[in-house]
Amino acid sequence: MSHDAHTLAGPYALDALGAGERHRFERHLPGCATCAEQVAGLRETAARLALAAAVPPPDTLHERVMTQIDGIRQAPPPLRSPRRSLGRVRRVPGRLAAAACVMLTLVSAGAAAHWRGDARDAQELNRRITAVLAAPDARVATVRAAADAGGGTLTLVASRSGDTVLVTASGLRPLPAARTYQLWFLGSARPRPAGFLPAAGRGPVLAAGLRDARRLGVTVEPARGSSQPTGAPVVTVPLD
Amino acid sequence: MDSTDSESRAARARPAPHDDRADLAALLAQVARGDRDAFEQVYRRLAAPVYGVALRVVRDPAQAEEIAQEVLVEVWRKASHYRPDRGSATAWALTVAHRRAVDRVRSAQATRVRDQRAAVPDRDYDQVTETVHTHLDHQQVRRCLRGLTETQRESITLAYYGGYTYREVAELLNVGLAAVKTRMRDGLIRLRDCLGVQA
Repeated sequence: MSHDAHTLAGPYALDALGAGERHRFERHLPGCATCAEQVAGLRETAARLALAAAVPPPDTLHERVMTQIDGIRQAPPPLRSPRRSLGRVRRVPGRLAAAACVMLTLVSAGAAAHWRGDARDAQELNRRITAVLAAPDARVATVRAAADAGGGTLTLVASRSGDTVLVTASGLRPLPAARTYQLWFLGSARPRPAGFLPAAGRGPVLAAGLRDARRLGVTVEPARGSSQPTGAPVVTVPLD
Repeated sequence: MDSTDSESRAARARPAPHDDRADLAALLAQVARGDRDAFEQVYRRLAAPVYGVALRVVRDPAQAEEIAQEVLVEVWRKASHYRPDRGSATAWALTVAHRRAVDRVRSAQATRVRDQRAAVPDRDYDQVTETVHTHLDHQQVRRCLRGLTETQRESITLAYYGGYTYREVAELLNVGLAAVKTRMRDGLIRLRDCLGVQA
């Protein structure tokens, strides 16, 4: 109905559509930015026609309204509809949106199991993950690991304002129990430990303390971790 | 009525000026937190246009007052639902008021013989056009309405003040549906530009 919908903007703004057409037009609006924008302007215009018709109401109205509101419970703010939330995600770069989907999938699939022991911890983790994904300066990067690491990929979402990086890996070569993938913040100073990648399918890692780091690196270390990298990184990902 | 009464009534009835958009939005934010004094100010700005537009459409003071009461109480109740990024608070409230009035007129008319009404197109036609031109207290709107073509003005005033659907307007003016839709849209766009309306 796209052509028709455009021509209905005028009648709609004037409340001159029958119930059926009004309903159809309102269903069309959210998917048509041009229509929505035009309707908003025409609605404002129609409101001026109402302002021009202003008439002092009877005094009884004031009393009736003020009396009635005393007994009325106010509606809480509406929750953002899922469609609108998706709209927000759509505005960030496509790659970030894709990464966010990957992350969210991992969160739901892995994090809950990983932190099964404590629901409050899981909740807190989810809150922090959401905060990184929603940060206005969130940036995403995906890099393929070296062949000797199994050729998997590392995806991260970094937020400098949140001082946090969200990291997830897929397809990395599984390590023997005595070894682990350790994360490092790399920059001009000495590498700083940034945590460990959990076993495959176990969800993302949040690494705080980004500070002045330029890259995130992954090395293979003894299971208990190292204070400094003991080998070359199997993958490094730029943070900016 | 003594002078204090008439002053307070006049103060309550003063229509909203157009440069207080942010002001009214801020008041609504306070209303959303249950601020009765803020609501009193919102009432002062909106009661006259809400009542006026309802009266213009339903043509009955008692019904217009009922509609105005419903709408203003709704403003109190749903103040937290107002989104400044979607338009002015004035338009938000007046859109609800106008729609309520139109719905009421149409449901009342649904019980009558629609054909008969359509055959006698004088319900408010002349009267609407005339009141629009003589009683608008808003100079600018009056001037801008004059800037429309005759057919645009007729289509818009019949729909907005008369409460007719565009199909009924087409029938009343004996023109095609496409022509009426176009007149309404083009007329509103011209009006919008003339009034300098910001979406």
